[in-house]
Amino acid sequence: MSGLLRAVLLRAAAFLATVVGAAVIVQLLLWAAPGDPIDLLPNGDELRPVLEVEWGLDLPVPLRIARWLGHAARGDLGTSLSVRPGASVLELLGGSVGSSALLLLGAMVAGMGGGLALAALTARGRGLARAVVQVLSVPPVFLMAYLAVVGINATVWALVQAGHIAPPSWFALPAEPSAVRTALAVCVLAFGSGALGEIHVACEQELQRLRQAPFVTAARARGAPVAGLLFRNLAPSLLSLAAARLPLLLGGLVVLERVLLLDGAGSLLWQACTQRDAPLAMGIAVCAASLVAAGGLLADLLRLWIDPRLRRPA
Amino acid sequence: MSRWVGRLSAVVLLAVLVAWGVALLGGYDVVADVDNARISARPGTAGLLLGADRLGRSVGWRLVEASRAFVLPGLAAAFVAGVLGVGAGALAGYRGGAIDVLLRQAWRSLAAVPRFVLVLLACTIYGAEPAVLAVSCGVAYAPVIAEAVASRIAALHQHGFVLASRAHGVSAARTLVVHLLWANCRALVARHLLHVLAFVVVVETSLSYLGGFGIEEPQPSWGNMLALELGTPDGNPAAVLGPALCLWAVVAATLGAASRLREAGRA
Amino acid sequence: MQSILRIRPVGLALALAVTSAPAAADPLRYAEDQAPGIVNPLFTSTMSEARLGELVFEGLYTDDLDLRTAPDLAESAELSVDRTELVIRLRKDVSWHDGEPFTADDVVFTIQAMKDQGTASTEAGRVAWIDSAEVVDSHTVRLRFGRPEASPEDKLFFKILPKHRFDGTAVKRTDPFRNKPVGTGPFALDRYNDDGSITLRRYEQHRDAAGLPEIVMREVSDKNYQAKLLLYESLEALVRVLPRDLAMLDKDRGVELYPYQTNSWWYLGFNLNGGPWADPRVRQAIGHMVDKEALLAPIGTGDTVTGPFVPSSPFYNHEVKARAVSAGQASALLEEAGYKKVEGVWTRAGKPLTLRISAHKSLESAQEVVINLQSQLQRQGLTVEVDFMDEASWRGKVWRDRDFDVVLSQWSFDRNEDVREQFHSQGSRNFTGYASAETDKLLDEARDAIDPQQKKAALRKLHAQVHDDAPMVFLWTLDSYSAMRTRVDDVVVHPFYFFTWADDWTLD
Repeated sequence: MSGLLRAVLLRAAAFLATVVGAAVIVQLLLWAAPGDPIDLLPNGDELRPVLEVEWGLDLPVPLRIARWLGHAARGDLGTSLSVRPGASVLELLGGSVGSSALLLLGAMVAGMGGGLALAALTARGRGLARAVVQVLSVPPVFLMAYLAVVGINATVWALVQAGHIAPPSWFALPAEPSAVRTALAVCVLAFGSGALGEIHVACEQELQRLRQAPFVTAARARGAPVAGLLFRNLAPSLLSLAAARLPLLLGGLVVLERVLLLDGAGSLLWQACTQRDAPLAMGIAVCAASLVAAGGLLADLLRLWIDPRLRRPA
Repeated sequence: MSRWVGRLSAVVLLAVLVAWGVALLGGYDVVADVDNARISARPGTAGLLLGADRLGRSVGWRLVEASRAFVLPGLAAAFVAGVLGVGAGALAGYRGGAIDVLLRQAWRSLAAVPRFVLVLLACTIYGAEPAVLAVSCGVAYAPVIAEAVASRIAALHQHGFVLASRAHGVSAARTLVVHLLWANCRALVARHLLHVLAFVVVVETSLSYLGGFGIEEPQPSWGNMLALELGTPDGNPAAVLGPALCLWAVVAATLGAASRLREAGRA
Repeated sequence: MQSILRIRPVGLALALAVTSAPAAADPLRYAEDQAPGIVNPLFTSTMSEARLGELVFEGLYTDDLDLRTAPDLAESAELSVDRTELVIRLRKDVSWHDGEPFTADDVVFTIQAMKDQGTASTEAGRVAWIDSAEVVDSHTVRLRFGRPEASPEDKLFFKILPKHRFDGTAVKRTDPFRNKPVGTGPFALDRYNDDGSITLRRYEQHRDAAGLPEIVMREVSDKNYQAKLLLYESLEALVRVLPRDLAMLDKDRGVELYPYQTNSWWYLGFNLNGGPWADPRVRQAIGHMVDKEALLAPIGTGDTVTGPFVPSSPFYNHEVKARAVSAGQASALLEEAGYKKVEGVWTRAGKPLTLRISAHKSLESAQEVVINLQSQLQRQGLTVEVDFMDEASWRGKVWRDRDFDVVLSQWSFDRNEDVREQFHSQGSRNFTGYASAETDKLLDEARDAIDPQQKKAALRKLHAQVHDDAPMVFLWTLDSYSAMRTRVDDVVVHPFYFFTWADDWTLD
């Protein structure tokens, strides 16, 4: 078996194991709780007879989990109990994932791009710039989003009242869906909760390490262009960084969608949790975990493709 | 530059510990402080340095008292994350082989669930107690520590000093704990534990603001102080700026201290 | 990141001018804390669902502008001499939003569906008094009741559903009708938008076409935003203004405030199922400790109440005097009940008197009241804990397990002000466990009374009785305001359902 094929198969197996493992962990959270999980639900008493059968409460916990996994493998994640009673979890997820995916992608690109650009600018510079960037990006996502919304609204309203401009179509945030609201969401998600600072520091370290690498010095000595070389060697670590950022972005998404009144998977998860809609909450959590695992797998495969040295077994 | 960052961070963190000590010693009764006569009093009025909140309670005292909301849960979370992460990481890195593969797979599965989502689920199912918050934050962060420790130990495992230590009859356990973990990983682990503290603060304030999974009144926390005051027109600005700035400062300080540790480690 | 906000004003103005657009033919936009989950009157459980239902559906009778019963889908009715039968003649000029004509079959179907056990309707109690409903002809219905009714029209406000959209009277929650409702009201549900908002358009074939072409319901779950959005012209209507936002909205000339009186009052309900609260002296003592005015001041304005009605209600007994805020009287009662003050804390048999106050998180301002109350009571020697619950915990702990000491909550009533379910020993909402033969007798008397004066007398006596027994400390009724942009004209707001007269509203 060629080294590449073997490496790919190994990683695919690890991906599956990760997804199943995450599902088991989420399930254990629920089943290991003291008391009756049906009691958690607001309309539990009505639904008890149906749920006891559907969830297999007469079975021991490992069998219950196996059952859920079996259903999930066939695409059946259960039905929502209190958020949209009767709707299938998969259907609800499908309807809400679109806008969230857009935000995630935008935030990933903006965050990595911004961090990399800043790193390129400050790699040789003083620590002051780095400290400033880190401090500015520290506020948690909800605070940043709230302050931005209040600040922008107040500024625009002041201008409107003074007669300088007419109220723009996207005003007032965050009620109207608009490009401005999406852009704000992307920026806050990309840079908030210390994200920009962390990406900046990681990129800066990598750049510094590479700039001092012998092959770069050699290329410079020969007058060869260094930028492309740096980027190609930077790419694997950037991919790993991006994969590591994904779970943090997903966490931030839940908060952001609530604060900016967006209607996506994060907001749905929050509703599922506050209304104790166990199947919906578990379904969304497992999907999030699958996305993280898929991101890791993708990053790994791309790295394998870029860097042939990784194809050899360790 | 980074020395100044380190010093500033240390000062802020020390201030937090002092505030915690003051809060523990008592002197402020969170329940008795309600006073209708001082509703939204501005800073410097009604005998209060930072004024009062919507219920007439002293903002200054509540900021100090709020340190209790995250110092203990934060330390507990750090303990949980440290024990689980270091334990799993050390075992995987040192033993290698099947144990390594199994442990890595386990903590990668845990790490696949986004940390905030895991904490949210735990609070939903087990109730929003400080203990639940602490344990879930610690467990959620443990994979990061495990991964870092395992990589470091695996890298060092083949080094001369380890082989020498074993050859001299030093037990595996002592080699692992004293020569590998303590000598080579303590700064790394300390950095991550500081990140856990920052994580607990951010998670608690986010959950409080969003509505109700954070620390409950009347025990103040920066999160529930913000939730109460944000959006109050004609409220005391200090009641919003106070917790926001404290939050900002503490998170920045923990991250600054962590970054200083990393710099010091490299130098 | 922050530097983005510091763009020079001129540049910003140019950028904004480019992206701005003129206001198009507009909808009336209003905000709800939580979007309706089900738009089916059989399963209404939140006020946002009730309000949306008010636009899309109609009942046999409704309130006129003087809050008196007036026919809506009914045209006229005849009550039999023995008052056990009502023959209703229905309007002939009514059609459903899908074009089908409205007939007597729909009325009978609705009543049967509400009563059907298979439906498990949340509104089943509203037709329990009707024994049978039958079709006489295409536009006539005969209702028969179990006992003589004084004015059955007052109880026929429930919404009528179209028989032809359902298979049988056992309707499920998951029936697709919940998202594609068909009613006879002045507005039809047009679509669910991508951002989660709901658009309703005017039903042109309505016998009394509405003034507004379109209404949009927007979910704004963060209460901090709602008033600001109204101010910034992103909304035209706000159903309920938070007391803290009143001053800000009052100052703005583009916003008009509409005060309205609801039949709702706040209370502290004791758990009489055992524990120290079963002793009425302890409850009365706490009644003497609570300073209602001080609790009310930070959260808004209103009137304190001494019984289960609002002061403007005809059933309110103004002769009942509130318990004075008196530490002396409270002490006397507690000592009588066997408590002693040890180091400032009330104790009996070595155990301090501990009170746990439970409140629902979604009750606006409940948190402030509870914290204030905790402070008041602890100053007077009680040990007080607080417990803020969300919906799921509330239903579990309070309703199902009766696991509480004292509950801070609010009851809202429609025009009928029927407090039976709350205070009758068999009442379905009597979770405090209050049981008094005298109260039961008065409630039965009020229910059976044909003469309105008799009913008033019975309920006023009930007010006095319940005040004395003190299963609750009755707190206050809050002044309520809704707010609208001044562009909205001809506005009259229904105190309970908000949109009852929305077909008259117009937008400039």
